[in-house]
Amino acid sequence: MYETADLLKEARVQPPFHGQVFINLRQFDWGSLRAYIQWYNEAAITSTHERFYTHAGLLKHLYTVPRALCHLHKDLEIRVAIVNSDPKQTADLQFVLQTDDGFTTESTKRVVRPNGSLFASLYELFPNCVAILKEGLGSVYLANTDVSLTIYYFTYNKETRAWQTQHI
Amino acid sequence: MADSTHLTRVDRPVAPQDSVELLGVLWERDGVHTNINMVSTHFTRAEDVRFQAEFALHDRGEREPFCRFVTPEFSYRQNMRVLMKQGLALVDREHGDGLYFVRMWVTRHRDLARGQNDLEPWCDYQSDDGKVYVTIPSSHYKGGRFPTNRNLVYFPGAVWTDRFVTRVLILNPYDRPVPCSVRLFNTGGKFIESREIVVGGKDYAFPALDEALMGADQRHLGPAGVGSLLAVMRYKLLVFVAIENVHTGVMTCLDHTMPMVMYKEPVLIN
Repeated sequence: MYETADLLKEARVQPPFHGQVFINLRQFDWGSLRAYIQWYNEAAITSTHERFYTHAGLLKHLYTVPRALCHLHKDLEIRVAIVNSDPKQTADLQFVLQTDDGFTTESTKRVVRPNGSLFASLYELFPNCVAILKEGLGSVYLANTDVSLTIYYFTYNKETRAWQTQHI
Repeated sequence: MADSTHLTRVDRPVAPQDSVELLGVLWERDGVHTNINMVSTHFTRAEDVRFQAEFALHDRGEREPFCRFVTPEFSYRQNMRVLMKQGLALVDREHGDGLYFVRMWVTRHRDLARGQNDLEPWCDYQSDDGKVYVTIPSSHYKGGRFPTNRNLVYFPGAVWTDRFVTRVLILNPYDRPVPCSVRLFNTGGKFIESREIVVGGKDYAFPALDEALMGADQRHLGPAGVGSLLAVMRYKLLVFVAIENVHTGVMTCLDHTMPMVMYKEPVLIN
């Protein structure tokens, strides 16, 4: 069990920080080994598992259109955390905000360098999201890209100071 | 968005009952609400094809549902969002204690190839006061893509401290009761085993892994309070894990378990 705060301290990185934790397992078989991540503060704990990624034999796939359901609420802040898992290729990411009845709005493109990451709120991606989403409900997805990505989404409740996450 | 004026109560099944079945717990009490959301997945191509969902609500432990209802038709361009309190509003009398067992099916266009259009069901539980906010992807148990149901499943992030306690949510979709237990491992590899938990047919259990159930106190996971758990079941059920702040009632962690897989011994590189 590792505290990333300690790892950052060892690496002499000052918080605040967001980025990728890359675990290089020196074995072929994972068995039931999983890297499980927990984010916590005094208010709450939230957790999810790693997303498997390998360089070896990786197919250049048409990447998924993952969707994060969003529920805009004055106390909730919605964020996506994305890592470009490709060690060589830059990702030009375009987000699409979709209302529940299918109306879509595209974001400006975001560039994420190889092994780089993005941790952006819905308001940063879509400054007019409040006007777009009826009753604050909709979903966010990524337009197709052939770059391998690792994606989580977070919600932060300003009132309870609780984070919640899920992988996509 | 589906609302109560568009949900229609039905007396008999509408969707093919041998298709993929989604299971869940319907939690509608103490200000906590359940939403079931369906969004189309990345390989969806025929976006104008329409589908509808059917729900069966069971009182805990009852084989026969007390209510079936269907949503309007949606296209794969839309998000289907069903607020379960609106489904419950279709029932003309009070049922149970606000905790139910829910099964769901989705109708499928006969011209679609398998895998051509797929939906991702997400269940979320939200409380009015914001203390409960958890989201979990699908929990298929029949015909689903993910083998989440085995009779030995594990979860690597159990927590037991003064502030946080871990709960297991065990769903039994079958008609017979299934005995289970939970083994809680500390980081040194030692485990304690819970008392037997019998999950009734068409029912679920949501016990806290506390001293009463585990027969030991939190020092077992000390000093950090973190360990892993293994659910051992006589027959394969669906198991999820939640972590709750017992001081504030905040619960923002709910995750699935994984089948315990015994591979061959790892081969070290170099």
